[in-house]
Amino acid sequence: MLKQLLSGDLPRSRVLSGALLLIFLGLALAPFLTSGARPLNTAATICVYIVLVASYDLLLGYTGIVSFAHTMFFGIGAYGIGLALASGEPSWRAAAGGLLLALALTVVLALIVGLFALRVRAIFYAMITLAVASSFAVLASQLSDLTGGEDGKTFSVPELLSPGFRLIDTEIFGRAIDGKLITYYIVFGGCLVLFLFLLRLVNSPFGRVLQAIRENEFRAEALGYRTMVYRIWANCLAALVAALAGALMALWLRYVGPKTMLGFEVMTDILLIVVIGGMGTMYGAVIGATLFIIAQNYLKALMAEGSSALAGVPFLAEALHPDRWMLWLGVLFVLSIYFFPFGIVGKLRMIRARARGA
Amino acid sequence: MRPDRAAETAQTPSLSTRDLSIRFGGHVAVNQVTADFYPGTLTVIVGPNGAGKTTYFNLMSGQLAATSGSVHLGATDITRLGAARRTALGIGRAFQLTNLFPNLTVAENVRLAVQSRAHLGLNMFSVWFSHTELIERAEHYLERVALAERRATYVAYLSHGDKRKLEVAILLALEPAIMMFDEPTAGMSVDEVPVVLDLIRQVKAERKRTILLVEHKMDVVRQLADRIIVLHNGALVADGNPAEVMASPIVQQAYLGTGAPALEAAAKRHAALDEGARTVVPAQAGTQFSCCNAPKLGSRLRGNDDEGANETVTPFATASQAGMTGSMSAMRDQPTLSQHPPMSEPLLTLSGVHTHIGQYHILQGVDLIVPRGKLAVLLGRNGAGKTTTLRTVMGLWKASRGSVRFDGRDITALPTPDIAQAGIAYVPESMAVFSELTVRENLYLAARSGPLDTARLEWIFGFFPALKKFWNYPAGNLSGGQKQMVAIARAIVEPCKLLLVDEPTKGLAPAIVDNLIAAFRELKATDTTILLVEQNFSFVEKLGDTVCVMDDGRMVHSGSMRALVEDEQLQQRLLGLSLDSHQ
Amino acid sequence: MTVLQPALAPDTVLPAPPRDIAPLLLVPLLMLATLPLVGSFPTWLTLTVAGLAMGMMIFIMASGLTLVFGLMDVLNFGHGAFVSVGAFAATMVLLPMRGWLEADSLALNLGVLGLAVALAMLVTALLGWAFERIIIAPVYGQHLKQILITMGGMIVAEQLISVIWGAEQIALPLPTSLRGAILLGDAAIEKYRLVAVVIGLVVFGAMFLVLNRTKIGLLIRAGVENREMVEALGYRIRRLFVAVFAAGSALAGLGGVLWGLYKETLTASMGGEIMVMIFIVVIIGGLGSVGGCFIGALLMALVANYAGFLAPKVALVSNIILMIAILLWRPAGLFSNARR
Repeated sequence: MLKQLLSGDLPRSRVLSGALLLIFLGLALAPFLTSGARPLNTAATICVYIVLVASYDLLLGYTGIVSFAHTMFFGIGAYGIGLALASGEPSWRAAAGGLLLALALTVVLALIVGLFALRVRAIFYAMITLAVASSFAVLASQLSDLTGGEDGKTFSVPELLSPGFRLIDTEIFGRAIDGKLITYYIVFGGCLVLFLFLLRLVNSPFGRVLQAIRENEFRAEALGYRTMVYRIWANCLAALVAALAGALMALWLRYVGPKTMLGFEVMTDILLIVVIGGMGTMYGAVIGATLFIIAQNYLKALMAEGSSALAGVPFLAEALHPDRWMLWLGVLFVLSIYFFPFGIVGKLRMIRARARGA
Repeated sequence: MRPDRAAETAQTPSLSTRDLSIRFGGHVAVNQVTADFYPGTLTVIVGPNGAGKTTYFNLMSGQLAATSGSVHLGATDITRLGAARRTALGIGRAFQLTNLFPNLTVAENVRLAVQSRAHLGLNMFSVWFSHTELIERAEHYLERVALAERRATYVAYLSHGDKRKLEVAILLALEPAIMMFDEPTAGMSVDEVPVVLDLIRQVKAERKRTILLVEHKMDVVRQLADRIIVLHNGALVADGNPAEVMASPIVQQAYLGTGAPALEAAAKRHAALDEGARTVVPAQAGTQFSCCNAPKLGSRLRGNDDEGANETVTPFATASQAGMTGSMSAMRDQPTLSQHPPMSEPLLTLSGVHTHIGQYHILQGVDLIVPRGKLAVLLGRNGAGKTTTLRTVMGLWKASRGSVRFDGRDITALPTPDIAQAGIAYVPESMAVFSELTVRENLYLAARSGPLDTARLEWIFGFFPALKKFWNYPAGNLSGGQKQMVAIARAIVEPCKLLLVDEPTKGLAPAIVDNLIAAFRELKATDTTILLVEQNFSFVEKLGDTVCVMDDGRMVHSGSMRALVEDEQLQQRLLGLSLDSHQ
Repeated sequence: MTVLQPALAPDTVLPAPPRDIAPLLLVPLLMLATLPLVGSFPTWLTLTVAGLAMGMMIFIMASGLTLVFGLMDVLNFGHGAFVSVGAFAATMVLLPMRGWLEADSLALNLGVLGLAVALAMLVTALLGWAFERIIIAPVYGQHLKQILITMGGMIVAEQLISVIWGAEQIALPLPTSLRGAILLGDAAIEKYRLVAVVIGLVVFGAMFLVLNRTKIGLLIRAGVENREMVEALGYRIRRLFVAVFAAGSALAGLGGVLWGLYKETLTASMGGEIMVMIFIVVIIGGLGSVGGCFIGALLMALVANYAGFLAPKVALVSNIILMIAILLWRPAGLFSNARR
């Protein structure tokens, strides 16, 4: 039963299985295990990022396509919901309409970019997606009447999801059963479904072809697979999932803005997570996103303390300043590419395989 | 086996090409080739290096798009279709250079082929291993090539022979109507070859599919071919019954440069010799001579009918002999004639050199000696390892074992630029002229010590007048023969100690070939040693002092050129093409 | 059996292909075409000079990237780091020597600028050398890893800039004698922009001469085609690679200084921000072509300036539209001579 659910892609490592179980339970029960807004926010962000990075892994790890346009689709999904709910009545119908529009735009853009740029060499494609994505970001921040510009837009959500709403009046484990909780479980549930969908996708015959294309495109073509078609499919599917993830993020934050949803920082975050977690594994996205978001939220406080402790020392104090946490992440990133080319998950699986005497 | 002509003409060909051509810049790689292939037959495509065989295959299987002409699958014109579509329509291709999915398992490689055949590629909803019928079929093909035990091994860790078998398994798994094998047994060890050949034989016995095969090994060709097609310089020069094709003088000419005329002349020389004198010399094989006592028997007996190669200096078969420690066993099997110790240490010595390219074990213990001031010729059929030997000397590929000594130094581990600066110039088989640079710039680049020496240039222009004409043209615009001239000129624009030349006559017009001969003679006179790889025997027989023959990565013969020219049986044994095969 | 005569290889030379001049006409055509659209000549002149200046600066920054890719098949996504570092390194000369900068003497101004540029180029060349040895050398031939690792390198470099020079912006005023504009009739042409155009032309001219008239240039052009053969001719081309990489980084540094003065503020992320424009220029020009890069940079900057005046809303995406238009015409860029 579990095997069917996970599409046969088992963790293959006890440590990994343990970690995944822990994360799953943690996220499922987060509202009741923690109190206050911040931990719940972290948990919701983790859910969304897991799906966002997993969809990127579909492109990078499984098909071998380097694309910098992924955040663009994330943003489109977010803005779709956000702008629809911001203009006029925050109703379910508006949300649905906005979402459908966003998904349609996503598919169209993914198709255009795919058809146009997948004919060219991989490096060209990477650079073109970078250019397209950054132009999109510029567009979003400049068309401020529509998009709220640099500051973005806050909006209200349908009543069921609003913080004021109460499903039942009693509290469970100290947590009010309010709109926020409901929103959390929509995000959690949605992300779970999307993740399992991606898992099924990469373990289907289609997913196996993607891996063949990554390994040797020339040979895949000679075997009778029209690689262009497969890559465009991969591109569109990954974009759609990213857009849905964006929609969930917008729903949670009740806010859309270029920095959170379209900025290059998001792209670098995705890249860091997918490399450190492990490319081509899907579970790498889970482990990587969890570690990353937790570190982002809580490690900075640690760094701040370290920085003040070293206040006198010239460069070290600056290096440990919480704003500089990207520095350490960058170093970790470069080191993982050298020493952990398969990421955390890959490493765990290799240890397990060796222990079994394979 | 004679194909049934009547039946053939009645059937429609399953695959055919009409005036198929492709050109790359100035070079026409395949030149208006028209051929038909019928179901139930096995056609072997042969031809010397660079004839365009693999390019022709690529044009049919879709990896390359033709410049003109057409390819037809049955009645359908498939010229504009891509490789994937052609495979789906029934053309299966196995490649010459191993081209698999390295980080996937053996079983997965085959299963992907089966999956493609079943058109399940775009299925996104089911789990892949639920399609047990695909996995079972893949298993079936693995068993046919005897790879079933390796099903879980990652391809990157397979041995070379296993990879070639996997290549065949994948092709079988596609179950195509047309099967194209490109040198399926290349680089395989002797015991692995029969497995693959048996498979091909089995498929052929079914008489259902159209099989095309590119091969060099003549024994394989003779066993399997219903029909032979010969390509030369991109054009079709012969097409028909194996025995007739191989016996045709034109084909012999294409392959070896040996035609009936050349052999007749050799026979005449042979008959003119004193029978008694011929037996004296072999009796002396196996004896040691000190430097001064060695009589030049050969030249007195045979007379000087050829300018140039009138010495009987023969290289020693192994380095130890050069040191005159005398191991006679190596000489016993070779009909080499009087051993005359060279006057000085040989310029280039290879001892026990092994070279691996990835997992291809190409050179399997090569011993080679090039005496100073001589022109040594390296002969052998395609795939014997001649080019690899030159590249190993040049440091472009590193020897995994053994040593290379040049001019008293061990150059085995030196980087290529240092080897070049030590005094070795290289003319590669691919010519490697810089297309974007003009002829002048190509030569200028080779003049390491500064400006071009005008006197030397004039001397070069004497042999290759076309260079003067095209001095300021980008080298990429020149024809193949002219590029060859640029490549050779580039190597000799400054004097060097050793000149390595790989198949210089390919694509050259006969008049230029004569100029080339003159050029090499003059170079020898200026104390340049030359090591020449060639397939064109008639070119080298006039030029070479010593000859070494390679096969399967080893040296199988070395001796004087004169001796080889005289001895037809030796030629047949070593060079593989038999004139008597149709009897 | 059919037996045919072997076809003799024809020994003629194909006529040399017509020189590819179409891309060379693009810039002049663009300039001429927009003159009637703009209407007034002085405005057009101002816009054109602004465009040319910006284009030159971007060309200087991008040229290193395209040359390195063409020669070494290395894609350095961290190229922007050298731009930033160059600009910041220049401040180490410009800020202490404020006096020279503010003096109203062209000689002093140019002198201090020259020193700053020299230092910037030295620092970035060294950084480039270190970058090649440490970050890039291990991943030769693996494009995916190159992209990832050079991006990582850029992130680290940017953060280190903040660590060393502080996280705030640094203001970099223009030298006094280069401020303001010259008046040509009704047209106001900023002096600094003229200087930028001149420097750009000098750099392009120098690169062109080196590549086409010197032996080193010959080696580079030959090495782009066939590294192995160049080694077989006796040249240690690996050393040349590192030298070219360092030179490319130094050029980025020079561009960084010019760009920093142009914007008059420096931020750690300025290099990263300009990477997109650099990439567009390299894509338009064709990977590996310095000439294409030159034309591409001028085109992009001119289009951006003209569009900013004629149709401000379109100007936001003018870069992308230009890139798409060029790629539709020539899918591999204006001049694609990279064999890979």
